[in-house]
Amino acid sequence: MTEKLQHHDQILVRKKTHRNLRWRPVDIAVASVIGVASSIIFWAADFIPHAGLQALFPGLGSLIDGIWLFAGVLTGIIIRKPGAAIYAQVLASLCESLMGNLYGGALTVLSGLIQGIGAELIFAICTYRVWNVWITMLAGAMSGFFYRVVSFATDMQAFNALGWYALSYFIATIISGIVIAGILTWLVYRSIARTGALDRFESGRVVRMKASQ
Amino acid sequence: MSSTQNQDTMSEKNRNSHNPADIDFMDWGYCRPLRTKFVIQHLNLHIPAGQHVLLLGESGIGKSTIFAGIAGLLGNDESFIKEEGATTSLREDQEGGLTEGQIYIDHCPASQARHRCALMMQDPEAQMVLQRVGDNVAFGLENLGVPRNEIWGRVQRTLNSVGLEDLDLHHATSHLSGGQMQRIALAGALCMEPGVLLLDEPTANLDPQGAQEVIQAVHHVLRDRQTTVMIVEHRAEQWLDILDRVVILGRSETGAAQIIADGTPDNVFSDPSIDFDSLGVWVPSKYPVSHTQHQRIAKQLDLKKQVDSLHHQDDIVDVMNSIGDDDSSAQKLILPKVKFAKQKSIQKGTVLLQTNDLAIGHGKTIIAQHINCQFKSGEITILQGKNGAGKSTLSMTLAGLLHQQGGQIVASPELCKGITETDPQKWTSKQLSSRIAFVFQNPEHQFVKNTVLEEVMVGLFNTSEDDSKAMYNAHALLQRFGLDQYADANPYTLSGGEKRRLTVAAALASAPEVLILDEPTFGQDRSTWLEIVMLIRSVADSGVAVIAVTHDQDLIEVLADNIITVGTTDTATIQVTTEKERQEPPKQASVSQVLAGINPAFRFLGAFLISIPLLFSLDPVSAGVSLILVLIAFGLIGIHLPKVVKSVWPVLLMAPWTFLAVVLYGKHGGHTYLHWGMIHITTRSIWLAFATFLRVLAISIPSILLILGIDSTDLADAISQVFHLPDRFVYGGLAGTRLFTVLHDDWNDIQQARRSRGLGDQNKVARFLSCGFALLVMSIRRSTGLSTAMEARAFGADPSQQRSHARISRVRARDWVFAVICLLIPVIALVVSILLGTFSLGGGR
Repeated sequence: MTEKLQHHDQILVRKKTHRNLRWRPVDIAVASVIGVASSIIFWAADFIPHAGLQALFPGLGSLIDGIWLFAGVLTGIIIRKPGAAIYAQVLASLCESLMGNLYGGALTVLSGLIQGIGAELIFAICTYRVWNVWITMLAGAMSGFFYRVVSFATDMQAFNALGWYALSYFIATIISGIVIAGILTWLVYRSIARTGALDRFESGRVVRMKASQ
Repeated sequence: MSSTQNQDTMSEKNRNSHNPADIDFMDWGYCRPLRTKFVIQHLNLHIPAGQHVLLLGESGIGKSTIFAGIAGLLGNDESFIKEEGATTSLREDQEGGLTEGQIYIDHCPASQARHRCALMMQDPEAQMVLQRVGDNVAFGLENLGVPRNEIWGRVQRTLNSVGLEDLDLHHATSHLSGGQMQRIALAGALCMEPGVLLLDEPTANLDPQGAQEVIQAVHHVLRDRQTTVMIVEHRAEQWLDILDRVVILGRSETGAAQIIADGTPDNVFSDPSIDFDSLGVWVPSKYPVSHTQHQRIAKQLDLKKQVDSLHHQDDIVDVMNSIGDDDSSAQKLILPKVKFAKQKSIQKGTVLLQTNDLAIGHGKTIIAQHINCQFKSGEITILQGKNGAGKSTLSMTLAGLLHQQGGQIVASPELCKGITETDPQKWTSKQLSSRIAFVFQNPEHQFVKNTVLEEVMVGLFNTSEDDSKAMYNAHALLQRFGLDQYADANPYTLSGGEKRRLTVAAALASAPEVLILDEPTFGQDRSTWLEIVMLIRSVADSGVAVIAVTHDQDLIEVLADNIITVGTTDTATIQVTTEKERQEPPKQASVSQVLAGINPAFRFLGAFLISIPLLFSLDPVSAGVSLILVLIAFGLIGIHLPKVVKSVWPVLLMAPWTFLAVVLYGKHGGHTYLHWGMIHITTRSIWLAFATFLRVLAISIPSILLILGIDSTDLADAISQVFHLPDRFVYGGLAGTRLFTVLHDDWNDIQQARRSRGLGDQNKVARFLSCGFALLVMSIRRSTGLSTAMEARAFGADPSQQRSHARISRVRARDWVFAVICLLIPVIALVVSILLGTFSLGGGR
């Protein structure tokens, strides 16, 4: 990323400076608020009759699982610092459980942690350098996969984790993770960046610079 | 050696911290992110310790940037930029901004002197970091690592000094007035005993009474406190008697800010060579220049009226010639005269909207009744009164956005334009937008599109024009409002004044007969103010009935045709019932007294202990026994079955579906009852379904009830002090949760703005998505503001500084007893299942 700049009547070329992975207060504040705002969406989505759909049409109910996975991915691509995905996903599920949700209060925080780790893993493998829609799709998919593995080990022990029914769950959750938490989240991030709200972030400036060129 | 040096600097820190500091700008400059030009360049300024300085200049010239620089919030990342191999002295920070030169606070670079500066900003809401009054004031002290035994004494003393001694420290900030919030922010800043106090438009967002409270508080604290003070405020009037010096910024040829005038208030405001108008400066009334300023406004308004009444282009040229070249601002306003999208045929003075015995209020509370008033075409009606008196409620009810509590609002036939329904409340969103337009106080609440042009087109399409004509009219409208060059820009990226103009343009695009504006001149500099005033006048002159909610006395003076005062006093035109002191009952931390007394961290821990062990076995016995024990335990601490059901009813609705899913698709074994595709109902699947059903309840019920009602501040304290998670994240997260209430209000405004703009008839999903996106952008904007407020209180200033805690999160013996009981319940249940032989690890294979 280079940029021309007028300074003292001469043109300077701005070079990309080294990355700083330490969190600033603004990183913490924005990650927190996305977490809090997401928790409202999580909580509202809890009322979709998702368990009923899953019982009547295997796989169908889980096609909306991505709604509960986007907070970590969105925060990850905006903040671009280690731990962002985990932090936001845990905070979102913490707030969701404090509002009193129907998926077992404290256990919600545990699944938030697992989902966050899934997304974070992809960002970490790329050493927080690569940011594009493919990465967010992977992060969404991984987040969903982790979540499903843990759910079959805990609250869904009654099902055979290697059977067809479980497979329908896995496929639906991963597809939903890719589409909702991956692609949609990416589009939302781009639209937010275009409003200038993310100008204090590398992630926001990249989008705005491309738009102005 | 090094330890003595450390002690030296420490003692120096302490010695200095009570004294005023001096400020030195050495060739300082700053370039904002994504800009190619420096907003400020080569600034050299010395402010001696203890001086009180007013900084003036038009909006966007960089006054707030200068304050951020002094507060040490800019250019902290020391990464140099190479220019053709040579190293320049420019520093780029993580915000993407560039800094040149240096600012010194007592000879120490500003970024290392953050504990010496306290910054107070204009938005009261944005500076409330935590939920309770006392915690907010204490926040800065905690960040500075002040020991707890000192904190509360200092907090109370400072609150007394700003006149808030009657306020309970536990009072929630969300129900305070703007003036009170601003004084809390002032107390939070003063509490840190700063060497430099920075006040960035501290009264811009307040009503006259609130502003007076803040100004008095500042005067009072400066009487017995030595500190360097810098104030940014568009109106100098009320600060004059405490000022030693006035510095005015203007633009140099390169566009960067430079010092135009610097001296005592008397010297500066009496200097005839300064063009205060073009600098956007309001001159205090005691100086003669201010009178000519007022005359000029009157003259310009008069000219505008003349011009608007003319019909032929030639006449306009004539008038312009008669003005001459000396008044370029008047010409600027006349030149882009383009007719509105629709010709008005209504005669001026026709009553368009009237109320018959109207009663207004929120929900079921009536705040005012028996309101009878009329709004006429071509007239400007001002609604004035204290903040929170009900002006906004009245205006939104008139705009068809809030339900009236009684009486009627009647639209005249001229306003109805063919529809038979005369109550605006019952109109569809589309019908409403082409008749009554409402411009919200916060422009960002009403943006719905990605570009400025589209934003205006929304209204034009509502009046069902064809594409090309709409496009033509949109450009004409933008040109008239001086926004044509931004047609493709994102609305959010405009400046404050431009955003305001755009919202008015967008509202006018659907050619309404009534235009309602909420606080149109809030926090604007003089140039923008003048622009808005001219705009409102010309809209009214074109035949629109204008209703403006405001407490801006200057605006009222030059524009008001009619004034309606909303308030509790006898002089008020509309009497509102006295707003009851909001007596909030202390929030319950749990439905049970016993649980409320348990440490929040342990309540969370308990929720895990009581549920995790049950995951070992999936059988009806362990789950059932645990559920029974849980219900007995809850009964003993006062949470009886009806209360349980009331708190966890969604679980009860969901659990049967889980049961069904396991019956149909669960692990199979034993006798088969039905086998069809994936569905396989067996003895085992039914057994497991019972087990799952009971276990869902055994896990959900206690883990929801144990944590329900935990106060987020208490939880953050406990997480920080019991679990020792990093304070930066814990309190950052806590500050985020405070935005909950703020965002709730935003959500309402955003939805009403959609209705007012003609987009309220969309289907639910589309509307939800559009509003949701607006809310997300709003929340990110609010949180960047929040982070500045936190940094202004030394949050994260010095990573080596251990944060202190104003509140103790105690762990008592009863917390441990509680944890043990939580663990015992599932363990007993598991033992019973083992003894009965039903234990089944993970439900078996």
